[in-house]
Amino acid sequence: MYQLYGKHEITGQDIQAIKRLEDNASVPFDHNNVDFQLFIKWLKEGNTPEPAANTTLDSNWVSNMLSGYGSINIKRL
Amino acid sequence: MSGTLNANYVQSDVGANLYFNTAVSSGPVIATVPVYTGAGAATPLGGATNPVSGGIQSANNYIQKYVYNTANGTYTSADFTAYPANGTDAAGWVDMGITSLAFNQYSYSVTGPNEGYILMSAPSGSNTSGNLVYATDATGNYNSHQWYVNGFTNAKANVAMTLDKNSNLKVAGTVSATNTFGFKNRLINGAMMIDQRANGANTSLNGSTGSQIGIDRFQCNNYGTGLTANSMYYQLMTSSNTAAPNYEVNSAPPGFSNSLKITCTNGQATSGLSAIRRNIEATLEGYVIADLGWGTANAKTCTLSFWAKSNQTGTFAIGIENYYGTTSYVTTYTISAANTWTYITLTIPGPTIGGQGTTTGFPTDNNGSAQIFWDLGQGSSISQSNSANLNTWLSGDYRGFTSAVHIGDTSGANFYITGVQFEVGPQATPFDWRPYGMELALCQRYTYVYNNTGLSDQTYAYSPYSPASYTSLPNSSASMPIYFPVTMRSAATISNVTGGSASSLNRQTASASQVVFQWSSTSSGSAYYVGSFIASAEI
Repeated sequence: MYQLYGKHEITGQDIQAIKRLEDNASVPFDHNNVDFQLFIKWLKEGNTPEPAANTTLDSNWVSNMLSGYGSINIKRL
Repeated sequence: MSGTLNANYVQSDVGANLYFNTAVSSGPVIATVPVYTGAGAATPLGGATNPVSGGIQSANNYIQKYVYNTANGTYTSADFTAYPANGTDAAGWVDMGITSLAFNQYSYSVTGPNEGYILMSAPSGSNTSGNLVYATDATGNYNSHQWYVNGFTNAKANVAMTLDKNSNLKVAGTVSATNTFGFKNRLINGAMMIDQRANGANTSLNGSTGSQIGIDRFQCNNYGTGLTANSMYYQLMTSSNTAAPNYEVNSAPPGFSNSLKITCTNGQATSGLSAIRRNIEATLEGYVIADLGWGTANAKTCTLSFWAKSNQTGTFAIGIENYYGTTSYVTTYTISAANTWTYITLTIPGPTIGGQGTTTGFPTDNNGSAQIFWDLGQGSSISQSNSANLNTWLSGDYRGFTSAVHIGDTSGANFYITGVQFEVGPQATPFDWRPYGMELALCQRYTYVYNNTGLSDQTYAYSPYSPASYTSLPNSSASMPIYFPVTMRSAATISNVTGGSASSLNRQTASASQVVFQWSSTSSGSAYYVGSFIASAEI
């Protein structure tokens, strides 16, 4: 499972990383990062991350992510 | 009697010797048939091809045919010479000889007094003339030599290459070799010196999904449907530091101090577990092997060498494939003696199939390109079952061999490995020892473990972090960067944040060069720090 970090307190931009809940790791949005590749694989399997605390997940968030990253190479386990 | 003896000569007896008398003619002795001399001349070597002469004798000592120059002048030498059809006395010969004690001839100054030599003068105009080739067959021996090029008039000091009496090779020019002398090992941490994550602790491979991380650059995997959790362990062992908790006698071969050890505590037969992954995995980044041409017609042959030890014996398997598992090669090696270090060398032909595409081939960028799997019991769906398919590159995802010894099948089985080297060329060469600090830096491109142990003064972040610029924002945040010592392969995953203010951490975000920790405080002036974390850009 994963959870969004939400928006930056100052810039208001989306944080370019996601929290992996099993170990609280921070996974950056970098298509060369294997953990991020596995996150995209998880999204493509139909899963949805939890929104940031006290927020709701934008209904287009997953489709936007897959639109931007859905074609990246994914590490074969 | 057959053959011809020139009629200008007559025989005469003087004492016990037979002479060809030159009183009749001053010309040479001519025999138009092979001439054999020696006590065994009547039984020359059978099957010799076109002999013109021979010396045959049986002696428990050396026998010899010689030329003996009794002069001792400055031009004096004794020589055996051979000519091709276009050779002349001026050029086109190879000459083996020895100079006199007084030898001092400018035209052949590459040789000094009483030196042996082989000289070669190329026939003018020959297509490949000029090379002097030293070669032996499989039974040959090596001897010391001096090599000169570009003329016999070279001064002695101009020797091009010397292999001296102490077996030192000295080369005057540039040395070029297929496998370069430094950084020839494309694998990192092959001597198992670095274990940033576990620092030598015995670490469980828990059998859940996903790849497990072992010691630096050697990933240990034990997962897949049906596997019992914690059925295998990995540990960096040392055979040199008797006080270390991971000390074990004979846990490294001569010339090494450490090894990676896999122990199976709950054996499970591979059969029926078709999708399991049990292996040691070493991944080569595309940038590291971009010169190999793997996946193209110009793919270079490489050699994998390593030391292995196990309490199991028999045929073990290794799979090599591209990162995305579409082209693979499976081979085997043998450990014949239990609990005995065995040196293994495997020559791997370069794959000419697969291409260099980022999803189907051997990429040449910062992603994984090729992987090496030591088969500890791979699932049947990723294993070759037909021995006819071994030792050849094939399409498909094969990382093991069903008939190989599988450490994961047997409770109590173990497997040690160290001295792992992957280099260009068909020959394994001595292990490429690099400075420890350099090896650590190479590892830190993929994993960096930060630990504040030993710091008396922590680096603190205080809230607010920039109130002057953002006066409209709450002054309840703090952030602190920590820069990585090495730029990492990709932006890093940050995990295992412990100590200090980790529990109140809001988030941590990283690039390839740094991580920034961020706290949301309830008041201004709060101070935060972290005790440790792991940054990972593994492949």
